[in-house]
Amino acid sequence: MKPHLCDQETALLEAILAGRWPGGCESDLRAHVAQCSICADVALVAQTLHREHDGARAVVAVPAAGLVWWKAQMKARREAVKRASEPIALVESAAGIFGVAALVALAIGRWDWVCGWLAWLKQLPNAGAFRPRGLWPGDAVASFQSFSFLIIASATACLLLVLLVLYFFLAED
Amino acid sequence: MREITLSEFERSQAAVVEAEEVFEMDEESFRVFYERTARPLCLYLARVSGDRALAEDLMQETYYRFLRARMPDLGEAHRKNYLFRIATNLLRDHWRSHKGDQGMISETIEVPALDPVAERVHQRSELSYAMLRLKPREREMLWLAYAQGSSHKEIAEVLGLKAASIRLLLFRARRKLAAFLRRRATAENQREPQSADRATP
Repeated sequence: MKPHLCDQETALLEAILAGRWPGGCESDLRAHVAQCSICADVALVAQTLHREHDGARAVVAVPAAGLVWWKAQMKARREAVKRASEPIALVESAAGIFGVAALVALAIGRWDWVCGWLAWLKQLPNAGAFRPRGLWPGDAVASFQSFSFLIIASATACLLLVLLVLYFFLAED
Repeated sequence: MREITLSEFERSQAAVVEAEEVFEMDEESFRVFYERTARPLCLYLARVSGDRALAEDLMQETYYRFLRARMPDLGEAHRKNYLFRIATNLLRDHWRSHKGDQGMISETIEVPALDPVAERVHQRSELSYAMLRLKPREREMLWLAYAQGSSHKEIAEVLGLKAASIRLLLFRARRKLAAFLRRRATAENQREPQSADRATP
């Protein structure tokens, strides 16, 4: 016989799980358990754990089946929505990246245009068409001395707006 | 905030329908299965992890994964074993991600007091103490075998082990737990006369 095996182990375990141990068992089995160290361990451990299981099972509180079902459904929905919107988010991100890349490429490829625009912007405040002197009476003109400042401020505001839009666009993704 | 386009909305709706169809079981079958398995599963997770709150979290996740799993037509017993296997794997994942914490906290563990009778609570904490001194696999095995009365084949199925190796592993785990329980009982018996002596004037 192997040192970890005993013929009576199964019979003893069945008796414990059925609640027949020790009172409802034959005296032979009780006598055997008193002598066999393997069965003594089985009796101690199985009795302790089985008693614990039966006692706790009667009083343990578990959530209602409906709640577990509902939570599982909610989770499945969230995962399905996430899975479904993944390609859209991917395309949006790609579009944003390609848009910015195209602008940068255009700026590099046509640097002469960019230089021309910058030069034009620089001359804009001094251009005659934008001087309000000819459009407004003399006194009002004095308050528009810093007209060039207004143009720079509006350009900066536009730039900030573009950056803000870009930020929100990327943050969404 | 970004506006949702019509196609996006349609896609989301389709996802909702997909989510409803994704479960293998209908609600009524689930309810029946849950009533049979929830308490044993909760106790198994609580006893093996030594943490009631963790057991409740893992229980929800276990049922979710069970519902999502594509299972061939399994019998009731196999379904139950499959459920316990998911729970065991989740516990192991938890321990892996919280390295070092395998529920083997000896003195500081908070034992959920389920029974109002003081003696039973005392016995329960004695058992919890002894259980938490064992390795997780030993706890799993002992609980399945002696608390739930699972066969060696069922234990092997739940723990992902060979059925032939269960007997020996169980023998070692059982010997360890029995030794802990006896040692604790002896220590308790020695403490009692001392406190009784102190109480007598």
